[in-house]
Amino acid sequence: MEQIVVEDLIKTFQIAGRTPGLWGSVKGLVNRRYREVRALDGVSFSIGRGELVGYIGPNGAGKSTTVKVLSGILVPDSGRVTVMDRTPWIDRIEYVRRIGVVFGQRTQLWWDLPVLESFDLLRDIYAVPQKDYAATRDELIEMLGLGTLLDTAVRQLSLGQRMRCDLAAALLHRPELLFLDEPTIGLDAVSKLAVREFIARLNRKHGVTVILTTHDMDDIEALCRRVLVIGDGRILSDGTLAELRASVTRERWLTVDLVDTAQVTSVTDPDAKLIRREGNRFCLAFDPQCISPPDLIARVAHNYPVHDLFVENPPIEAIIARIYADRS
Amino acid sequence: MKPYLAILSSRFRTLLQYRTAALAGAGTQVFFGLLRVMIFDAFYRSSTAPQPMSSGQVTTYIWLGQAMMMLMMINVDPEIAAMVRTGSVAYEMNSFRLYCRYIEISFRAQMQYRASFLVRTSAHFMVTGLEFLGLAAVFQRFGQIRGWTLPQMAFFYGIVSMSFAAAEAVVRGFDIFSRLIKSGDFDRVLLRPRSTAFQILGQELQLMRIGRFTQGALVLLWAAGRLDVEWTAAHVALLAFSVVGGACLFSGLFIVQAAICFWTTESVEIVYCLTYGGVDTAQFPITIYRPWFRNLFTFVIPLATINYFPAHAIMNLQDTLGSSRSMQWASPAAGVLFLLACLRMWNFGVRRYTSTGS
Repeated sequence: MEQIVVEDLIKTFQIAGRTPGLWGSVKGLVNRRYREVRALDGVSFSIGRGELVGYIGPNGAGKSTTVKVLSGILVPDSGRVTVMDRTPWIDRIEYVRRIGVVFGQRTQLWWDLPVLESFDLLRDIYAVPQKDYAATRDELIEMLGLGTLLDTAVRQLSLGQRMRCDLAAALLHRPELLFLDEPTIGLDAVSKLAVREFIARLNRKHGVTVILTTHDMDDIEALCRRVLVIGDGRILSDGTLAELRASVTRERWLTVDLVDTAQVTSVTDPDAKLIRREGNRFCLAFDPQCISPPDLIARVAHNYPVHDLFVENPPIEAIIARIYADRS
Repeated sequence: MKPYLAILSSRFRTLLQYRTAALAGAGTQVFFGLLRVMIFDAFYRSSTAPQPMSSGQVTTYIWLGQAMMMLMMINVDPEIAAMVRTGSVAYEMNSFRLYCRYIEISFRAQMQYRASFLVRTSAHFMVTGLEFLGLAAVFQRFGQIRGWTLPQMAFFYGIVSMSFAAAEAVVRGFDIFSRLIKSGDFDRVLLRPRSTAFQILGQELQLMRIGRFTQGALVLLWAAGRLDVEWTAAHVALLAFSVVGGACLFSGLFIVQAAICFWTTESVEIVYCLTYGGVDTAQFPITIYRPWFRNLFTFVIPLATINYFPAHAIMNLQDTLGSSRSMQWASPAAGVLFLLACLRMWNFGVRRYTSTGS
C-alpha cells in the first residue's frame, strides 16, 4: 500500500530582484521588481510503507520545497498530496503528530538545556504517555549510544553527538514517517557511520518510512535501495542507485598523485580521459567495460612515477550534471 | 574611516531591503514627534504664565530630537545582544502545565545570568522612575494640564504602566518574532503539534519587566493616597480588570507587530506608535488631545477603555466626555476583545507564511 502519493505538485515563489549598490537599494524602496521562480514544476511520485528513499538533487533543485510540502509547512500552488490518508497542510496539528523531521543544519533541542530535559519537554509537547515515552526513550538511548550525553547541555555537544540526539528527539513520539534533511552534513567519518547504521536499523526493525535528502553519495549507497533525483523542479530519475548510474554513465574515476619531483605535464592513456588536474594530482575518467581498473592502474603506474592513487565513482553532482546535459 | 563607512553603508542597505520596515521606521518618528508636540501644546494652553521656552521653541526642539532618533536606526541593533544571550528558541504549549514547563526553562535561562537580570530589572525601574520625575517637574512648572492635576495624571500613568509591563513580560516571544522568521526557525514551530501562538508565547517570560511594573504600582499607590481613593473590594477588582484588560490590549498589539513580519520579514517599527506610543499617550487623560487623536485611541485602539474610563469610576469623577458609570465598569473588556481580534490576524499571517514559505 502506498503511504505517500504525490501528484503533479507545482509551487512558484516570488523573489524580489535586488539591484546592487547603495543607490540600487534606495531605488528598490520605490520600484521593486519581482521574478517568479518555479521551485516545483509538476512533481509526482509515490512511496510505500517502510521504504527508505533517497531524494537527491543539486542546491535549489526543489528538494527542501518538496520536504516542506510533505511535512505540511508549505502549501503548494496546485497538485495533490496524500500522506497516511491525509493532506499534510490541512489539520496541521494532527498531521505533524505522526511524522518526524530532522534538519541536519539545525537542532530542535533547547540550546541551554541538558539533553534529557529536552526529551522530557518533547514528551509534554507531543503528549506521549509516560510509559510509552520511557520505553521509547530508553531504546533510542541504547541504539544511539547517548547514555553519557544525557546530562550535557546541548550547546556543549559536538556536531556528531548533537545529530544523534536530534535523531532521538525526532523519534520520541514514534512517528511512522521520518524526513531527514542532510543528516550527515559536516559530520566526521565515525559519526556518519553511526548515523547511517541507526537509520538502517530503525527502518528494518520498526518499519519506519524514511525520506532522506543528502549530497553525500555514500549515504545513498549505504542506505537507499531507491533514489529519486530532482532537478529544476522535476523528477529526473526514479529507481535503484545502480539503475541511476547505469542510465547515465558507466564511467569511473582514477585519481593519481605523482611523486613531488615528477616533471610531468600530463597523464594520458589510450583508454582513459584526463578530466582534471590540480598540481601533481591527475584525475582520469574511464569505462570499466573497456578497461578493467587493475589493468589501467598497472599501466599508469608503469608509465608514470605514481605516489598514490584511488578509484571512485563520479560524485552525485557529476551524475546529475550528466542527467541535465542528456535532457537538454 | 573608510572601513567604517563601508560597514555603515552595508548596514544601511540591509535596512533598505526590508522596504516596509524602512518606510515605517520614518513614520514612527513622525508619530512620536506629533504626540510630544500635542502634550506640550496642551500644557501651554493650560497656563498663561511666562515660560523659559516658547511653545514654538519647544516644538522645534522636539522635531530636531525626532530627526536625531531617525539617524540612530542606522547603527544601533538592539537585537544582537538579546540574540547572543537567548540562543535558540523554546516552543509550545496548550496545557497550562506545559506552559509552566516552558516558563521554568525561560526562568532558569534568565537566572543563569543573575547579575545581568538584577541590573536590568533595576534599570527598568529607574529609567521609568526618572521618566515620571520628569513629568512631575513639568507639572510643577505648569501646575496642571487641561484641568488635571499631577496625582490624577499619575493614576492614569500607573494603570497603563502596569498593563504594559505585564504585556511586555508575557508576550516577549512575539516582540522578538522577526528573528524566528529570518532564521527559518518558524518552520520548527509548524512541525510541532501545538498551536503556533501558544508556542511563541511559551518562548520567554521576561521577568525583568517587574521593574517597570513595580514602578507603575508605586506611582499608582502614591496617586491613590493623594486623591483619597476609597479602596473597596469592587474598586480593587475594577483596577485589576483594567490592568488585565490593558495587558491584553498591549499583548494584542505585540501580536500584530509579529504577524506583520509574515509579510515584511523585518520587524516593522510603525507598530511602536501604538505600543510605546500608546503608553506615552495613555499616561495622560485623553481629554488633553485633539478629537481625532482621542478617537483613534478610543475606538480603533481602545486604550482609553483600559485606563481613562475605569479610572473615573475608581476616582469617583464625572467624565467630561459623558461616559456612564456602567460603561466605565465594563470598558476594560474591550482590551480582551481586541486581543481576540489580533489573534485572528496572527492566524491569517500564519496562513500567508505557509503559502509563500518566506
